[in-house]
Amino acid sequence: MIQPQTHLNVADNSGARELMCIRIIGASNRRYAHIGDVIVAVIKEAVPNMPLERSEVVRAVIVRTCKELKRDNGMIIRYDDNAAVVIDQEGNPKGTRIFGAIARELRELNFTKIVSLAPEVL
Amino acid sequence: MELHSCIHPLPCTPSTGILVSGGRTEAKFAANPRKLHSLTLNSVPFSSKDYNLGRSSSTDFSRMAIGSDVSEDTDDMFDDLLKKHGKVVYRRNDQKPATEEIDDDAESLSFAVAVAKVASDVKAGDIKVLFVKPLVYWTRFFIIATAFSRPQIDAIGTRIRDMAEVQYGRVASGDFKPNSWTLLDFGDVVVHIFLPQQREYYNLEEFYGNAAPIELPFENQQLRGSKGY
Amino acid sequence: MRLEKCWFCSSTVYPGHGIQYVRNDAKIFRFCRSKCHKNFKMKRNPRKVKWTKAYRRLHGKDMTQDSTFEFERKRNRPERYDRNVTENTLKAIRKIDKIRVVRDERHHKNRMKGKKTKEQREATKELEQSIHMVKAPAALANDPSLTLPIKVKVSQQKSEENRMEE
Repeated sequence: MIQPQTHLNVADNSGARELMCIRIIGASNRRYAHIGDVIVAVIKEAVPNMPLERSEVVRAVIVRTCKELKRDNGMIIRYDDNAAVVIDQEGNPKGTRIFGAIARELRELNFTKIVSLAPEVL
Repeated sequence: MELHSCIHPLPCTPSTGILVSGGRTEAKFAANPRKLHSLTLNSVPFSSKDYNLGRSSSTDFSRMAIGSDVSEDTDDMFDDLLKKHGKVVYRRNDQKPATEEIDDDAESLSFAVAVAKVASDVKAGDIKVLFVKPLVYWTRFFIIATAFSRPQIDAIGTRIRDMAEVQYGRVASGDFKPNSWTLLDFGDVVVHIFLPQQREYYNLEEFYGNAAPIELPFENQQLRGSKGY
Repeated sequence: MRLEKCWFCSSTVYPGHGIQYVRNDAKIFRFCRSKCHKNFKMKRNPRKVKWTKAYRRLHGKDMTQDSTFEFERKRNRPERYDRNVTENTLKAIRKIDKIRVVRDERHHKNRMKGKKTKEQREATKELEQSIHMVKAPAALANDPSLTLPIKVKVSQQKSEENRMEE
């Protein structure tokens, strides 16, 4: 359940460290974003000497949420944190590696690039 | 338990993953046998030889099958059986050599090679087919190729899609428009087409360095030379 | 479909039940019900909570080493469906379960072996040590200091009041 003003961790090596959601892409007044949704976010904290800088506006895909994710087979999964991966306008990830576990729902939502860079897919 | 059953349950059982946890479990299994094959059934490690071994002591088994109450000697017999077959059963044969596993996926392999062939026809550079099934569960083969311009990416993507649909009846998901990293997802085969710069940037080969590369049947020599980037 | 074990209480997690928690290092904790999940969130150690399997195993309440447990284990290789194997498995499940229950009962019986004599011994000891507290009814009637004085008073007052009312 990500909504504007939610702070998220960054699960890749793009150089951003913390994001703040400012808009959810999809319907016009959508309340919450879940795993696999694209959000517009602002970088709140960044690693120095990296291409991404503080207060830059980027797009990101949510890859982990504390709110439980329900699968069709009845499985319920909860993660440790809210995390997102920074992507560009074409949908390519800005970083080259992804950290932590990732839900397999991302593949069905056409984020196979993120899945193929991830170390662990659940 | 059937008295007439000539197949003894015990020599076979250790090979299968049984979830014994109270009477309710078994009732569930009995009610829903479809679940069973998706249980964590291990491969059948005992060969026909072992099976004969079981047969030789069939008198014991039949006695066991008939005896409805579980008496002391049945217990011992059970231990004996475990001693006899236990070793065979618990041999870890999970790790098969990569070549054998590839044989399991012959269909995917043929498709992957066909895709690579198409890519090579459209002059994609440095085509690599990686067998990633031991590393990730969600797919079997990666095909990584380099294209040198966006129109070429478009051409490769379209050719692969057409070939897959006509010859194999598969439809890819992924990027439809040419992209600096174009990805075609056929389920068990995933095709990555990069521009040279992106290929170097994402460096997928290094990330999947442990995957077994597949030798391509067609000549790829002149392209291998330009592997440097 | 795989039937996993609950991380906290070690019971079987059936499909559609419970919740999975994925830590950031990708370790998965499965819980069979919210009770176990809540206990986990409270950071309780399953070895110190009495109703879990871990506690019972650790304190010798349950059978720990038995060959029947060997059948139930995690195998990472899916097996191709074979009708005969399935049939035999189904038969064997019943058999093995029966054996396991019998052994469980035997274990419990062994565990409870000394209980009766121990109880009796304790009872005799108590009897020996505190026999002086028991007085014969005749002695109680003769010596009013042995009964509770207040109670006697109340009963007397009551009887007086009753008489007054009458």
